Amino acid sequence: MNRSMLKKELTENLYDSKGLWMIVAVSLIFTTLCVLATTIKEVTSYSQTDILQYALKAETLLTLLVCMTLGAACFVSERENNTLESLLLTPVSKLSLTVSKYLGVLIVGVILMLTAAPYVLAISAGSGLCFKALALGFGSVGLLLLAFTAVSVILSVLMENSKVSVLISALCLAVLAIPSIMSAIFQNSAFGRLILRIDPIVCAFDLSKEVLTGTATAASIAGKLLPMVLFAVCAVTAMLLFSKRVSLKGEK
Amino acid sequence: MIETKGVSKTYRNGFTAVKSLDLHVSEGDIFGFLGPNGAGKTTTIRMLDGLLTPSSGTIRIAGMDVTKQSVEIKKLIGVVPESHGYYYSMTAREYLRYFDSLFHPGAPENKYIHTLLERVGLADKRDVPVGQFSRGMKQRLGIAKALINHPKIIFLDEPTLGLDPKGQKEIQDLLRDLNKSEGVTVFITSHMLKDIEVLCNRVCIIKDGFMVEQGTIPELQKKYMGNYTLLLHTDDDLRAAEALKCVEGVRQVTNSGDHLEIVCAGGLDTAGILAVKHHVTTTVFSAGLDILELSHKLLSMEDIFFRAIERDGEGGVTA
Repeated sequence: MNRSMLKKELTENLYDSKGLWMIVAVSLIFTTLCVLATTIKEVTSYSQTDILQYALKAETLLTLLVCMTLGAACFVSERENNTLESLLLTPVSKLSLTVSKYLGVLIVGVILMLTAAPYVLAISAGSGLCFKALALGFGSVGLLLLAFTAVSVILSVLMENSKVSVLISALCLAVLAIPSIMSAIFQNSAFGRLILRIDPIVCAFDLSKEVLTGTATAASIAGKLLPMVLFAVCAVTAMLLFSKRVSLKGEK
Repeated sequence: MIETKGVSKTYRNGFTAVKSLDLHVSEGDIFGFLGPNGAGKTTTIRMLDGLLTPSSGTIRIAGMDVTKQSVEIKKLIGVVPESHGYYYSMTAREYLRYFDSLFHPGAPENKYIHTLLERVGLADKRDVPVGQFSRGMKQRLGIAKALINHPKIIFLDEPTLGLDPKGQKEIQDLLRDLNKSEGVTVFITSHMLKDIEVLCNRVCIIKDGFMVEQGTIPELQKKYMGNYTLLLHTDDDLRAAEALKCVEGVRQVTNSGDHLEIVCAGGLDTAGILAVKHHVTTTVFSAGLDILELSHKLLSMEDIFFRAIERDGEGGVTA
């Protein structure tokens, strides 16, 4: 990892790629959610635990969406702007280049999680769930962030067009998020139930539910964490392997 | 300094861009690498700087194998690619500082950055974002970036493309100065054959991936010149042409409008050429005419380029 490259990536992600605006947008969405949760009659009838679960789901999906958008453009935009050749002509290795870009996106993800933390704390205030909510907000979202950002960086290495890369990244996220939204349909078949058991997003949401409602056991936590950890390890390993394929436009 | 032996490059789609290329560039050379569009120039440069792996053959830069010691070689070379991209939000100083930090991680800001900016004439624009630069300024910044690691060899792929004559002259002067004052070996591709002619001491011409010619410019001029040709301008070229038709050693006299082209007979040595010159001048003076200008015809780089390409097309030399 090269520190100046990491600094440049972070600056680029925050300013040139509009990451800063995305963070502002996320905090606005959370503010709106908090206002709705406290003012609308239908929403206030929900229990604090339910609202907290929705907040954590929103944090998860928004963080992943922003980071996947940034990650999916990291190499492909350098290729499109003809700046990749100059980088590849420096003694910095492709692996170091990939890791710097990956960390540059991850830091934005951490900033997003930190942005969400006060809202999560505000929603969980007085329920005794503050610590658990924060642990889920950083732990399980962090694990998914490691994995999904790595997937988007891989796409950026492989794709030749940034729009296609971002679109496919968003599709990957949508495909893995669908079972959590339509879990009732998936419960009807054995294959669907298998998907629900191994889908990392479903596991993260189920883990939140069990931890916040106090129904979690050590075995169920391990069962939910395992697919998430495996997914993260596989995605990061694949990204490190795919770093060798970083190349110029039209030469793959 | 640069040595290639039997280098070929075939892409995954089966297209062979470079075929069995043998190059030799000595230390301190300004080497022109010429060829029509699609001849394989950019592919060759990318193989030389380690961005592409050759399908066959060996490339040695300063005695090191490009495929095995690419990191060491990257520290030795500077490259100005054909399609050079820039980070438009960075200023010229930040841009150079960024690349300096990639070559020297953790080092404090290098004073050489200011020297480089002065050298390329961008010292007063150092805090201006690159996005506001003209094409010529960007090109000069690209050259400054290529020099950030004090390279021993600099590769330039079409460095004067799209520049006005003043910009072209500035780049030429800069490269000449680098070569003379720091002994940097320059490897340059360009379609501006005049640039190559005034800048390079050795050239190589490739076509369809094959090398068709390599040598110094005087060597190639001699090779492609054919018969020695005198250029004569008198106060009456029409009368002079009539008088010169019967001169011994003169094969053909043509009037190009502003001067006469006198083609000498083939196979003349230096003494023979001097004798023809003597006959020509005495004939002109005997006819009561005055000589306003007398010189000999030299082939331009453009003439050599087209003759080499055409000769190859007729089944000439391929390497």
